[in-house]
Amino acid sequence: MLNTDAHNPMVKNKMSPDEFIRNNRGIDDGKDLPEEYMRTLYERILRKEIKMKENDLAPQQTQSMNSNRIPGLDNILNIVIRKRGDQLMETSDDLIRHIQEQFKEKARKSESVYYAATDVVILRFMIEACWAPMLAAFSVPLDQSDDEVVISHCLEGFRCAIHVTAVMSMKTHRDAFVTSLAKFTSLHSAADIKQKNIDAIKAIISIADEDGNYLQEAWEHVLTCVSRFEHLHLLGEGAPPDATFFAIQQNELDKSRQAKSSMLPVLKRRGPGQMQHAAAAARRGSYDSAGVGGHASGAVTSEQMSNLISNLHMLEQVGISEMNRIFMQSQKLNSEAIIDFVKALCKVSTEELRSTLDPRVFSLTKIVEIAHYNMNRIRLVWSSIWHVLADFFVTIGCSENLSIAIFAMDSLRQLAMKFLDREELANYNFQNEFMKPFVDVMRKSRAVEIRELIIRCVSQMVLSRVNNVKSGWKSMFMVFTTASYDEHKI
Amino acid sequence: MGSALSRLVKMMFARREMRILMVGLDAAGKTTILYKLKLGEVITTIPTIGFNVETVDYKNVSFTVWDVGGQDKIRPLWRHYFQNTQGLIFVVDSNDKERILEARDELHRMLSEAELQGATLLVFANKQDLPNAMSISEITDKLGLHALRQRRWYIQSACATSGEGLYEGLDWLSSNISNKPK
Repeated sequence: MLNTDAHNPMVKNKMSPDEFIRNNRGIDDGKDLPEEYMRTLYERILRKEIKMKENDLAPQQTQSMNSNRIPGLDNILNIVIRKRGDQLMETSDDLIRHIQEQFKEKARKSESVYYAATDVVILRFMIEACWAPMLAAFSVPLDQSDDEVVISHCLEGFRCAIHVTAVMSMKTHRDAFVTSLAKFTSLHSAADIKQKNIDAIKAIISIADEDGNYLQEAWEHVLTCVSRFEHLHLLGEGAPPDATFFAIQQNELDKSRQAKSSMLPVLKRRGPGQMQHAAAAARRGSYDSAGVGGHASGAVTSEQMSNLISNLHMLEQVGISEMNRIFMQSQKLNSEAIIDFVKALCKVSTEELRSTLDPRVFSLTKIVEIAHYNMNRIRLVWSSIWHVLADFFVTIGCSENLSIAIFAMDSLRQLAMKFLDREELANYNFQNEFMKPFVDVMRKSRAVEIRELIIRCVSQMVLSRVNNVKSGWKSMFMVFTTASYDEHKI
Repeated sequence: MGSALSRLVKMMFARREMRILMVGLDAAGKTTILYKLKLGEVITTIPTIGFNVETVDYKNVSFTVWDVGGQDKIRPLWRHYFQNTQGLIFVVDSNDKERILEARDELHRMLSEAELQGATLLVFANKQDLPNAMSISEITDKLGLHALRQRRWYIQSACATSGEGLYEGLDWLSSNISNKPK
């Protein structure tokens, strides 16, 4: 107390030696300490301030100063936050230096040994201890601030955190970071998108690029973002060629989906019609439920609508080509990662197709694409990729929605044709494996149209690739056998 | 006089902002409550890993609600959102008799934190529509709410799926949170 009193410039009336003695009466078990001793103590404290090490005090002081200043105007707030960030960094640098010095000192003494952490596993425990503060530290400012510097620091933090947790395969922690970052893209409620959300999208893309091999199940979140982005991007562009291509194809194939087909010509004409369709996307949703198919119902205010339109232009900052790179890069993923990637993509695609009003085939086309990119992998890996894809195609092929089922079978046919181009090695039966989904769908599907289509697909394959077919014959004959039992005569 | 009048109008219509932290054991219904308030509809949720954050506007008050996952593995995360929290919403599953004591322990552990000293506490006794739900008084007893000293608290029966009780809870919060001077 005397220390503060004597050395703090804020205290105007300093304590006298007598006062000091009076204040300390009865502190020695009810008795007074000898007056002589108290006087020398007083002199000593007065002469030399009792200090913690300078460095320990510094961060507290700067922090408390800043927190006093925070209740200011908003623009001041931004400046303060920025400054505070810088200062914290300086002081933490100081702290690190301080700790290093301490370690060196200890190392010099013989009794303590300095252990260098050679094993990366130790990092795991370090992260386990500090992941929660880290997540909070990145997410709170990211949500509240609009300051560029703060946001870029936070996003950088997310990237690093995801990198470390992913490499250490700490699933819960990694997913916590990835889902949080995915939520900050705000793609599920497009009307609220701001610049910082765009930056978050960019961060996700770079994570997919850099840490693809370690993302495992978290790929699903990344790919969901990509799918939603593409959905909004299509709206923003009005009618890019591939969208109209799908529209026409679906139109021809399906008469039952009148609602959809009447909507689509409107999409081609830029203008008020586009607004109508976009209304679905403008609607605010939650991250989990918004789905990747979009909604077609719900009231949308005009304010939200105009927000959406301007936000769609903002989305153009992120090129669709960057998104496509994620799929191109799938060739570079390692053998385990590619399977996780494919699984996640199938999941996202199932989600896209599940929407009854506005099903989308974006991920389905991407599945065909990546299957094509990855056909040159060693057969063991390829067959496990195909195992995942086969299940997916069978499920989609038996879908209630006829046009989706047809689309899936058509995609499968495209892939099969490409696959049959390759020479099959002796004693292998990959072709047979490859043709399995056709057989399964043939047996399971209740729709005559699908069964007809399969027969046509298979006979086309036989006609055009007859020299390459080897083990595939087995499946082909199984298809034809099933067909011959069919009650419907063609 | 004109300026006085405009100041009065401003006071009446000024948007107040509140930072709310919503916690509770896993599967208590936090995320469902959040999106029922935000979107007005019931959505299918998956267990929250990490958090959800949404701004809910209600009666000139803009509530920034942080809904933090409740699985025991991520409960350490809660405390990092305590700072500047004006209101704490604690969600309990009224049917979960086995874990009500666990909920009590978590609640009291949290309330003893210095950063939450000024925060008002709203307890949602969720899932009241189910037949075996505990009554409000039973939950109040089991959570030991009466033992709370120097804390403004309120327990509200609720059903997230129908929306019952949710806005009553927000009403109470908005009238019982001392707005932090800005």
